[in-house]
Formats: sequence, structure tokens, C-alpha cells
Amino acid sequence: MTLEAETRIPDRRGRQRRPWFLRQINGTVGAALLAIVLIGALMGYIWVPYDPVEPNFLKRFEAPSLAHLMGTDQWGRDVFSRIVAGARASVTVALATVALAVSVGTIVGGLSGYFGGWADRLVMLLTDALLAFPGLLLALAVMAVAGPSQLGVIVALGLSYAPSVLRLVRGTVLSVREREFVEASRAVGDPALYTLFRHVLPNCTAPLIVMGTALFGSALLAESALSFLGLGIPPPAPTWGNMLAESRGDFVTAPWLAIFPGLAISIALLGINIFGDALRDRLDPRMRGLDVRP
Amino acid sequence: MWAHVARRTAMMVPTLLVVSIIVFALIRAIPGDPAEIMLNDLDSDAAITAMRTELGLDRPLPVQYAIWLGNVLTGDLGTSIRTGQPVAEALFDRLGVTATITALAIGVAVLLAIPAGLIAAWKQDTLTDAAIIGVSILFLSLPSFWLGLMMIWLFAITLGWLPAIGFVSISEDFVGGLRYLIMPVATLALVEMAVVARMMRAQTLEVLRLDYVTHARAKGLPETIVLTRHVARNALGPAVTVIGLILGGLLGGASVTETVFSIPGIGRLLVDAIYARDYPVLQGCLLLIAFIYVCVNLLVDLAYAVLDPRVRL
Amino acid sequence: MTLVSVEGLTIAFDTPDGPRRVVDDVSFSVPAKGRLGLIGESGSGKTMIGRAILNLLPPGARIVGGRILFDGEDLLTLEPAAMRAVRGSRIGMVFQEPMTSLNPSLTVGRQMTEGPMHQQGLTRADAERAARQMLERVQLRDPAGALARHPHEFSGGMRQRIMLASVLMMRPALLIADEPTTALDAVIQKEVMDLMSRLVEEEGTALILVSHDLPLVAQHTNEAVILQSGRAVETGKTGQILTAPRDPYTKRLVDALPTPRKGRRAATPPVVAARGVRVVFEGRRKLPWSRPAPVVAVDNVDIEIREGEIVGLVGESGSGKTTLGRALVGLAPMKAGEIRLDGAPRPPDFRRRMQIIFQDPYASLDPRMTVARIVSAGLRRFGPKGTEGEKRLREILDGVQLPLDTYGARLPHELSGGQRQRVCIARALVTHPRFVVADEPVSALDLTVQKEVLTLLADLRERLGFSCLFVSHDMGVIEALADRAVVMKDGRVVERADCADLFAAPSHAYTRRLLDAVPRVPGAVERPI
Repeated sequence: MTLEAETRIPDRRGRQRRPWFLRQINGTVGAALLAIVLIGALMGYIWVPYDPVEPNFLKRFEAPSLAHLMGTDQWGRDVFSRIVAGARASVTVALATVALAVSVGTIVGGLSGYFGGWADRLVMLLTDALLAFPGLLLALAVMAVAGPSQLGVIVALGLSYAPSVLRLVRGTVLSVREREFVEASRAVGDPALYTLFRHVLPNCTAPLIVMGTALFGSALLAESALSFLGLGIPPPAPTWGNMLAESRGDFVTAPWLAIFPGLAISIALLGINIFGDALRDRLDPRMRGLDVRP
Repeated sequence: MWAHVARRTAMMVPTLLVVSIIVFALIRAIPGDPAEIMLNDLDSDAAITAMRTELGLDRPLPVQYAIWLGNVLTGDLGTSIRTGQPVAEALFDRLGVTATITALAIGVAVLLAIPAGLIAAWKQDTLTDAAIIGVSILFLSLPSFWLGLMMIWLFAITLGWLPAIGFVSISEDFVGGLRYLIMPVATLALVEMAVVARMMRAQTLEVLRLDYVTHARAKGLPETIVLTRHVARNALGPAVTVIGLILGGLLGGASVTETVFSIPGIGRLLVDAIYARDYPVLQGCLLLIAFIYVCVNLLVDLAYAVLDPRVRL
Repeated sequence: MTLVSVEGLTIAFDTPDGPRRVVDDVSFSVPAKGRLGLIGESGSGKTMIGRAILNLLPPGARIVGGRILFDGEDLLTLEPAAMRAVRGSRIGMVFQEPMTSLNPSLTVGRQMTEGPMHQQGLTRADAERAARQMLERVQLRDPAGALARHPHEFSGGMRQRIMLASVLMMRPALLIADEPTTALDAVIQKEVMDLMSRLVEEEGTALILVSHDLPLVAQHTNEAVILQSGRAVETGKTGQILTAPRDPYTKRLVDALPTPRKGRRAATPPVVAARGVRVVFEGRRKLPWSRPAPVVAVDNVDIEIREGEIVGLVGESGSGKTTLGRALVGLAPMKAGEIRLDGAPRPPDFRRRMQIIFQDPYASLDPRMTVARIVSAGLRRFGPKGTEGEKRLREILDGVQLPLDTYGARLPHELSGGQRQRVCIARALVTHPRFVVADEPVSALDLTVQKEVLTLLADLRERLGFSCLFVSHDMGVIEALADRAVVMKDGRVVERADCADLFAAPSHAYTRRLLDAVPRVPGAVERPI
């Protein structure tokens, strides 16, 4: 092999090595962004510089400064403190939502897909009907019935996402069920539930992790959107959506009120999206391009 | 092909029935007596009883459902508690606005995103690809309501180029109407474009690996023909299905965008109905949006069958 | 006159651990109208060479050395436009998978005509006429109608004919056929190969046949290159290489060809006796709530496997042979029929006494479980447990040459295909079953590995003394292994006989066609094992 030979051959599509920043936009960057958000959420539980809820009328509409990194709002509250406290609310709600959706979806979808029969068809009918409410619609409807509250948001979003998880798990179970190692388990006389929980479901985790990550982002965004509409976590609780909603009246004079909460949401989502892409390339390349959004 | 259309349409019916049951059940699950909610506190017990009879609330639930469904099917969705307007009429008034914005946003997103995704995949791992991926993932991560606020701040308040909020129908004032449409449509299109471009890129990568693409190249066809005739067409099918999903996102998220830009669409109607506890309107909105969504997904399904002859069985 | 000459071709493939040479300094040449076979097992680089000639390597693969001279011109130095002019009209290529090598969304006519129209400047009408004539020559029914249809409306064999027609209608000087019939059933394979041979002959096209199948290459080429891990280990006349191999690897390859066994065994009492087995699957539902159309997979079959005997079950894909095997061990639901094990209908411990070995060693092991855990599944259920169980586990793993201490903690992805299949065998035999169904256990394996696994299975049968139903589409393997053979077609048994009789004098026409379709290496058939 000579160097000459390597350079001489015209390449079909002018393929070159990946540019450096493409190699960099990968799991590491995503994980770093995500880590910032998660640390923020933890900080929200432990310590924030100023009280995020108590008004201080002496300090209304202060522009960002060293004392107030992101300025203060119309009630004189420190925006940075509220952002950190908002991270806590957003991450908590998003995690709880994903936990609810994934556990309901996995158990029902797993049983339904593995055993089939009329129960499966009934479950699928209900799932299809629930999926007929696009995006936020079902969550909005549930919030309308339940009234704004943190638990309400978790239940509403959990219920909206569970059908998607269910459908994914059921589909994966249907394909894993046909694999020969599952038949091998039946051939040595393993009971059906043992086969399902020991052989089938553990082999469904890759797409589930990928989807769970995407759902985490969706839930975070959806919670902000619900709060923005005044149908999520009720004010004065600091959430990013509430802050954006409250900024609407004043953001002409105090644009930082709108900029920072939006940036917080965007950074969180960017982290999740980049991290999620890297994860799905590693775990389940077939799911590439399927974005789960509210 | 017609058998396929008939079969898919028939499969919609049970789904829509269950949808109607869910909507009916949701409203009935609201704590409190609908009759009391509809009347104010000053009304007498007798008035409430009369209202209950009028609403059919003294009958068993399945009967109530059957009567309600019968009314819905004949186009009677009740009257708004807040305005007294028939719900069907209110929905019809608002639908046009939402439909215009949604259709424009999807159109713009698809027109830009399909070529972008195709080129990104074809140029996989190059600067072009990196730029397209980078921009997509960025837009994907911007909440539409924040993007909207930032646009208002920049283009309406700081630069003064466009009107900040509100809506004028383009049938009344075409140019003026367009000026109101630009920001909402751009906001939605940018985010949805990211979704479509990513989907198209992924699908194209899948197709590029397949033997028939190599076969097309082995026949000596020029790369443009390989890409348009053999790659794009087969990647488009799955990418089209994502349009159904996007529409879901747009319809479900209409409440948010329409709130940001104060647009009198169906999403805003829904949110106002929730604020005002105007349950007939809420019910109507839920039913209509779900119905549209199911229908569009049916159309997407059928479009897929046109693009991929294997599905037409 | 030399048409194509490959000199010192070296191809590197980018892997996460850096570039790896998948083709290393390979040279050969094909004269005009000549026929060359590129023979190798998986990973030998044979496909890469074929694609390199057209400069159509998959992403990640790069040519790092050598020349490819075609008509005296180095193809590797051509500009893209000049290379495109060579593709199709000078060098044609037929791919392996008939299911994926035609574009599903374009009609056959459109795909056949686009090459000639672009490359040779034909008008649409002329191109269509040429396409129709070519489809006639590949003996496709209704050639005119076929042009307007989509690829999915044709069977695999038909698609491969269409493929052949679309490539040969451009009258290339060289045809590269990459495993053109591997995905097809034996009878269809023979038809397509014979057709290809004849057309190439008539057109005076040179042929490079890329294949893993020695007898097939022997039948259709004059010269061959044997490839092992990217290197050409032997080059020469095909007949000579296969009858008198010089290189040790080629020798192993030739030795691994199944050869008929001699002798027959005395009749013994039946271990498994099945009567009137009928398996019906649910077909498509027209609507989610409508009744599914029934699909009869196995239709009223009687079968008997006697003590210590191996019964070969032969048939093409869709014949119901796999379903019958699964029904016998209780993995496919039976609509009717009765299975007796040692005279008793379905004894309570039949799962211990009847086992199955699956076809795909990549799908039949749970990727998350260790070898020890996989193999001891039967012991967990039926015992013996404790030290006795561990002794049994050690015994069987030693038996398949995967000692517990070395391999017990490994996961399936850390094993080769042959090792995986040996784990499957151990899993099935650990409970000392009376009866084992082996469902195409070697068809996913390379020839040399296939030989190892079959030898191992035969040894274990001597030692453990189980009876076996050996399901296979490969007549050669059945002839080498089985005592008796049963032939299935469309869910029914069409012939059953002692193996020696069946192969010497098949009585059913279908069996004869199956046997005729088996490619034989001239002179190699009579060698004893």
C-alpha cells in the first residue's frame, strides 16, 4: 500500500473524515448540558441565593447585575433563584411523568402483546383512541377536569404518554416474542410469565430507554407549556412556564424576564436531544428520526 | 386500492367511538353537578331540577351517552355556557384561522425540510450534514412559545416590522393578513421543519444502504437520478407519516401558539373554555380536534399506500 | 485476450479500532467470454472485490492499493463520469437479495428501461421493446404485462430473472453475479443458474461468479480463486482445485462438503409416533374485528422416529417442515392429531424428554444471559439440581467443547456462530432428552463450521443415544447424516424412504426435482468420508 494509491483514487461521494465539531456534538456535549440542568434541579432542592417566592417590592424590575445575575421580576424576586427553583419543579415533574408513563406502558403493553387475544385487542382499541388526542390535548383536557396542581400535571402528562410507551413496548414484545430464544425458554417448560419477565421484557429495554429519554424532554416542555397557559403548576410556584407567562406583560421593558426562562428550557431540551440522539445511535439505530414531542 | 381505502376507513369507526366515550366520560368526571355549574348560585333548587331534566341528567349514564352521541352525530354540540352561541357555530368560526396557520406551517416546513434531510444524508458526515443536523437540533430544542415571544420582541417591538399580536383574515385584507401570519407560521414551521428534516435524513440513510440504490448506480445512472428517482421517493413514504405526527403537535399545541400571538383560533377557544368552565365548548373542541387528527392520519396512511405499492394489498 | 485483470487489489475497511484490510493483495484475470468463480466463506472479502470492480464499495471501505484493468484501462483512475459510462453498459452486476435489489416503488418496466435510455441513448419505445424481448428470453410469463407491474408482485426467483434481464439487456462485456441464487430454494436456484449460464454463453459475456457454494461454482465456471480472510490462497482451474486441492484451507473446504454415509440400521421400536398432525395458523384479518383467514401449514401428517435413528425432513421454504418439527415438541399449536412419546400421549415431563435445536444461532440465545445460565435452563426446571446438576452442566459443555470454566461466563455476542450453535446443542441435550428436533441447525453456518457442528452432533448421538428429526432444505446434509428421509411439500408428506433408497431411486416426481437441483462437484461425489 502506498500513499500515492490512497490519494489517487477519486472517492465516490467526496467522503472525508468527520469534521471535528461533528465528532464533538455527541453524547458528551449532551450529557454535559443535561448535567447542568440536573445539578440545577438538585440545587433547587438544597439551596438558592434568594427566596424564589416571597415578593420584595423594593427591588422590582432590576436589570441583571452581580447581585442579581438574571435581574429581578415585577414582584422583586431574583430571577436566577426562580430559574434554579424552576429546574427543580420541571425535572421532578418530568421524571415522575416518565416513570408513570413507562411503568404503566411497559406492564400493560408487555402483558397485552405477549398474551394477545381479546384483551390485547381491547387495550389496542383504547390506546388508539387515546392517541387520537394529539399532543397536549389530552393533558389539557385532564387538567381542565382536575384543576391546576403539580400532581395533576404528572397524572395528565403520564396518561398522555403512556399510550405511546404501551404501543412501543407491545410492538417490541411482538417481535421479540418470535425470536428463537423465547421459544427455547418455552421448550424447557418455563412458565409464560417467567419467559415474559426474564427473556422478553429485558430485551425490550433498548428502545424503551431511547423513548424514555425523549419523553423526559417532551414532559419538560409540556409542563412548561401547561404552566405558560396557566393550567399547570399554579403560581406563585416558580416554574419556567409560569415565569414566561408572567413576563408577557413586562417583557418590552424587562426582556430578561422572558429571555432567561426560555434559555433554561432550550438548554435542557438541547441537552436531552443531543444526549438522546447519541443514546439511540448506540442502543437502537432503527429508531433514528423518530422524535417524540408533545 | 379501493378495498384498502374502505378497510382503513372502516377501522376508524371504533376508534372514534371510543374517543367519544372518553370525551363524554371526562366531562362527567368533573366534580360537581353540571346543572349547578351551568346556572349561577342564585338560582333556586327548582331551577336546578328543571335544568337537570332538560339536560337529561336524571337518566342512566348509558342513555345519556346515547342521546348525547345522537346529538353530536346530527351536528348538535350544545350551546356555549359563556356566550350562548351554538358550539358547532363557534368551532366553525374558529377553525379557519387555525387551519390556515397549520397548513401554511406544514407546507413551509415540508418544502424546506425534505430537501434538507435528503442532502444531509447524501452528504453524511460532511460540513453540510453537520450544519443541517446542528440547526435542526437547535430548532427542535426551542419551545415554540418562547420562540414566538422572542420574535415579537425582535420583529415587532425592537424593529417594528410586523404587528405584534392579533389576526386579520387574508380573505378580507390579503397583504395585511399575511403580515399577521408571518410570525406564527415561522414559529411553528421552524420547529416542525427540524422534525421533518431529521426524519427525512434518517430515512434517506436507510434507503441509501439498500441494494437497489447500489443497483441503480451499477446501471451507470447519474447521481441526481439515483437520488431523486430511487432514493427520495422511497425515503419519502416514511417521512410522510411524520406529517401526521406534526399535525398532531400543531393541533395539540395550537392553544399555546394562539395564546402567544393572541390569535382567535380553535386552540385559544379551547383554553378560554377551560378558564370559563364552558364544558360544551371544551367537549366540542376535543371532539373536533381528535376527529381531524384521526382523519388526517387516515389520509397520510393512504398517501403512504400511493407512494409504496407494497402496502396496497 | 484478457478482459479484466485485477492486480494486487487491497481494500481497507474503517473500523472503530482503525482500518482493517478486508482484501489483501488479490490478483486474478478473466479473459473475454471467460468464467471465473470467487469462492470464500463469510468474511473472505469476496463481495468487496466484486463491488470494487465497479467502484461501488460500501461507505467505510476504501481501495488502498492495486489496479483493476478493464480492456487495458485502469478503472480506479477513471473520473466519476467515465466510471458511470462503464457501469451497466460494459460491466453489469446481479445482486444477492432479490427482495431488496429492485426498487419497490417503480414498475419493472421503468427500472429496466432507465439504464439503456441513459447509457445507450435509446428512446423509451425502443428500450421497452428491448426489455420485453429480454423478459421473454428469461422465460417470464407475460413479458408485456410484467413491465407494468411492481417488483413485489413477483416471487424471489422471478425477481432474480428480471434482475438478470435488466442487466444483460445492456449487453455488458462482463457480468458480476454476487451470490445470485443464495436466497432461493434449490429447484429455483438451479433454474436461475442454468438460465444465467445459457444467456452468458449466448451473449458471449464474461462472468465473475461470487459464491460460497463450491459445487455451484464448479458447475458454472472454469477458473476459480479461493479466498480466505481477504487473501487469495489458491487460483486455478475449477475442476482441479476441487478434486485435487493444494492449499490446506482449500482442502478443508472440500473435505467439509457433505458426503453420503453408507449402511442402514436395523428397525427399532418408535420413540416418537405422531398421527394426523394438523397445524393451522391465523392469517390476515381483513378488519381488526373480523375472523382471520386460516392458513394450513401442516396437513394431516403421520411421522415416526425410531430409537436411536436420525430422520431427515426435507422440503422447500413454505413446505411446513419447520412447523411440523415445532408441533412435535409442543411449540406449535395443533388443530388435530396425536403425538406419543414412548407410547404415552404427551407425558407430563415431555418438555424434558423432547428438545429442539434452532436454526439461527444469533436469534436463539438470549443476548443478556451467560452460556452457563442458558445451558442450565432445563436443569433449573427439571433437575438434577445442586452438585449433581453442576456435574451434568460440566459434562455437556465439555461434550460440545466449550468447557464451563472458560466459556461459562461468556455472553452470546462473545462467541462465534459455530460456538453459539454448540451452546444451543448443549442447551437441548443437558436434560438427556429421548428425542431432539434439529431445525436447520447448520444452514446459517459456513461450510467448514457446518462440518464441525454436524460431526459433533453425530458424536453426541453415539454417546447420549437420542433420536433425532433433522429438518433441512439441504439434500446433501440429509444424505450425509440421516437414516431415513421424509419429503414434505405444501404441508403434506409426499415421500418417505430409507435414505439410501431415496437418493438412489426417488419415487415421487417432486423428490426427483429436488435431487436434480443439487449441484455436484464432478469427481468428488464418490469419496468416502
